[in-house]
Amino acid sequence: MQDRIRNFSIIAHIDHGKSTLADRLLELTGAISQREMREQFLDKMDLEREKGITIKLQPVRLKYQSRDGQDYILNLIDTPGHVDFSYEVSRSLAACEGAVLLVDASQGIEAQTLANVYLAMDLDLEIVGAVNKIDLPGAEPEQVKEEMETVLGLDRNDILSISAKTGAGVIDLLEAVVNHIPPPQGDPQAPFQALIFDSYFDSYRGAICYFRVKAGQIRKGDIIRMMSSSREFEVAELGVINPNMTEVQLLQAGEVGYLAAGIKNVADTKVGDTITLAERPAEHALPGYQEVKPMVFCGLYPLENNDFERLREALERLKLNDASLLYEPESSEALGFGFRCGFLGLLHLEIVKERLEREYDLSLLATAPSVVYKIILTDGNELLLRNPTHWPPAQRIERVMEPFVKASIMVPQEFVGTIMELCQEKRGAFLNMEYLTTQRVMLTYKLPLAEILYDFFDALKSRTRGYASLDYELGDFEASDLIKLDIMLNGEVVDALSFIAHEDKAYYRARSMAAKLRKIIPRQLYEVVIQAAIGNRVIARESIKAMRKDVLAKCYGGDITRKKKLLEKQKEGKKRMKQIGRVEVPKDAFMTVMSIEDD
Amino acid sequence: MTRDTPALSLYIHIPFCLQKCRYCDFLSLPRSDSSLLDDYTTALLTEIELKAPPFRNRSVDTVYLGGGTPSLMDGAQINKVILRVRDYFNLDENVEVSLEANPATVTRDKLMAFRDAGVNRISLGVQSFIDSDLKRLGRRHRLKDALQTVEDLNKLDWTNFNLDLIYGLPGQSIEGWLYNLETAIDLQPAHLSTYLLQLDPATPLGRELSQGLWQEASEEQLAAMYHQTRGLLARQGFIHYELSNYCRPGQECRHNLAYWQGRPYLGFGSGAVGCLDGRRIINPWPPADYIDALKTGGLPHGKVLEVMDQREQLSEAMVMGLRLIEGISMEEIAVRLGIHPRAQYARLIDEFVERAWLIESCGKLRLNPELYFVSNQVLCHFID
Repeated sequence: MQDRIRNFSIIAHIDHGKSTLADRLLELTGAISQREMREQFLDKMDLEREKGITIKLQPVRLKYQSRDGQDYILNLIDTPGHVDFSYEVSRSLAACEGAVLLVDASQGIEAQTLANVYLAMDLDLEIVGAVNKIDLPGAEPEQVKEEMETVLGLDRNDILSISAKTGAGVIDLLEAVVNHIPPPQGDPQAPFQALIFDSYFDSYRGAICYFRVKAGQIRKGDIIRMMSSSREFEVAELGVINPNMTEVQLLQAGEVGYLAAGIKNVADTKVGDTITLAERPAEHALPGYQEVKPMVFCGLYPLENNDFERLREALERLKLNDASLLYEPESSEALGFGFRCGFLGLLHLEIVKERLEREYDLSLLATAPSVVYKIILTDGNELLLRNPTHWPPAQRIERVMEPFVKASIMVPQEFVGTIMELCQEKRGAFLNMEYLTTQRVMLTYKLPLAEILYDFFDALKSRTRGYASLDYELGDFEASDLIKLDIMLNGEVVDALSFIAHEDKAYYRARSMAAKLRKIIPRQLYEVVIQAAIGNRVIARESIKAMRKDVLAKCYGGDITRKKKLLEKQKEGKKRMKQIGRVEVPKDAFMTVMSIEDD
Repeated sequence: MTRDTPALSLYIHIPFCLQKCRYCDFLSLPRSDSSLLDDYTTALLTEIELKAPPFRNRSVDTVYLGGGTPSLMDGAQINKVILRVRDYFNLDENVEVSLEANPATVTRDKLMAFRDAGVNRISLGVQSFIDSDLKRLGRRHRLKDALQTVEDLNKLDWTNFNLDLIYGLPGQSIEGWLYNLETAIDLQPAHLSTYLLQLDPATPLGRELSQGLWQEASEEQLAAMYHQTRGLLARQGFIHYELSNYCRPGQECRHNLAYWQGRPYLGFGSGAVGCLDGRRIINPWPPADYIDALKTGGLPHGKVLEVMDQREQLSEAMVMGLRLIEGISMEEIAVRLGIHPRAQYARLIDEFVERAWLIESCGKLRLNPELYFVSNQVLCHFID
């Protein structure tokens, strides 16, 4: 049985054709008919389809009859490509014995791909290399294969040439998966052990867990035990995804599947936990996953103050499906009660906010994102600062440290100068430069995380006509000259608008922030004064003159309906505002700090 | 019908004009052939007759002939219409009968004929006393026509007339506007309506604006025009009684007051709107459809614009009533609609009174005069 199972993921950069390949595999193995087929089939969320990216990992079980006439079960775990979701990737890889590395035949290897390949190699996964999009005019498969050989040490003769779009070479790829990726190990007779690699909440069935069986077997009706909490549940539903949820009687070592067990409490299904059976429990839990440490934080507040409890529940449930999300309640003078949330990056933040709004019907306001700062106080204590509002008074601060990253930037050699300039502007320190091939260079810089968060990626792309790619890993905290900037509206500090800036750039950023806010905040019935200050020292000031005129149409018998519609529209406009003191501030204003340019 | 049933107002729409003004987005057609006007008159007569029966016992205290350009009709046509109203409705002895007139379309004889038909209030669409403005606006009349019409009214001892003026015209300065206003005051009208030019982008003048062929005056300038108008007219003894309307003491347009005070009105003619017990209905448009409908003998099927429940009627009472300078009487609204404004809006009212956006005294609630020109910012909160 195990000999006929192959568990694998696909590693690829965004737009290198991963979801298209997944679509083709579904089609060629008959998992779905032509009629059911639609693009990005495995991306279930509207958000994924709209943005054309994969956010969530998604397992699917395929049946494949190989050229030797044998039937195989292939468990494909589709994974996201963006750096913010590398936690999803690492969990998928841990449930597999192999990975298909897919590289665009005209783009070559990208920084992010490299990182994921190293991750797979660390987990001893077998890599099957494939060059994709060979049907396109600019394709240079041989050159890309050479790159894969030099950079990753794959044998170029083993690398396949395929087109996921036309289907060319995809059967060969399936053969390679069967022949090169080893079958799973694990004793089906041993005590049951399964690793939860994902879960989500279903209103009817409770928590649904996706797991990989490492040892033993499980049947519907078995009593399972969560090894971290020792809580026990009866399996109400056991199944595989092929690609619809299909119930099965039994799953055993090496297989991938899902279960529902009437688990109502979200805390009882932690991703990375080990499931065993109550009757004959395993002795040890599986290693599980390293906890991820979100480094980007922002406040999420309900626009309607009485939605706080609903937001708490939504976060609880979303956390089940997104283990990397961190949240804790906080309050803001300006915004009331909300949560400080931690994310893996800005895309992650954006996606979480959108999912909360869509899947839980909430209207949310996000405050300016910031990284975590470490503040050494004069009394020797350390403070981890996730919210700029809690910046201590200057006399209590010994020094401030911020997180740095080691950034790897892959770029065609002609852009090296530009990129070095950009890194310089962003307070980067040069670490290394390496020629991957004669044309492609890998630059390594140490950069403050705060600097690459905002517009770094955009700048990178625009200065290299889209050719550069970036990956980064978190490094250590290091001392920097940082200060807190406060924003005041009509003399009152708006805590939710405070942000941390480097001293050298503070003056410029303060002015730029005030000017931006002046443009974003509409005229009100009284003058609004915007000030930016460091402590008590105001360093920038703008004012928005009072509104003097509004639509003042005639209003007689035939005009009333029209007039009321206009008023309704004006009122709708106000709903998108947050009342701070007496100033109506558009909810997007809190993200303004993100779009302040640096030069 | 009970004793308390409020008096009715009748609105009669005459949707024809010599030509369409370049800023106009109202229901009107640039046509004035006499056969069409005759057919239309006939249709109106039928509609009045058919619509009247349920309202036999209800007193009608205002009739308003609006447009379009009602003064395109001749004296005989207007006479027939008013006579039909008299025959089928129970007109109050002090009934106010207004008619909108374009100075280019009336003579002294025509005015006399209107008066004989029962019209006792004339509203004159002057808009500006400067010919270049009038040209730009696509108006057919000129300064001399306006002066002539007022002189004719004077000769007839007809003092109850209104002048319509527009400010915020292309290229108009504050001084230019005040000149127009002073000229109007010199003509001793009983009533003045001053409107801020409001352009739909689909009108010719609106298109010119969006193409950048001219620029609107700044918010500050327009606000100055509005507030200086208030000051100047107050000094001249005019009462400011609605956001855009002024009059000599006791000369308010009672018909328009009925709209702002939420009283019932019936609409006659193509595109006319009526509102009764929270149901607002618009008659068929264009006139050809309306005329055809009435030729076949039935009442035209109006389109229901809205049906308001008690709360929606209250919301409307707030946004319409607060346009009046004296504001609203909360008790009166409570009696009329069976729901007290405070029952619905206590928090809003208290907050706005505290901010001095609204002024509350003796059970009345009114807008702070500082906010007249930005009234929507306050009014929109009362829309649910």
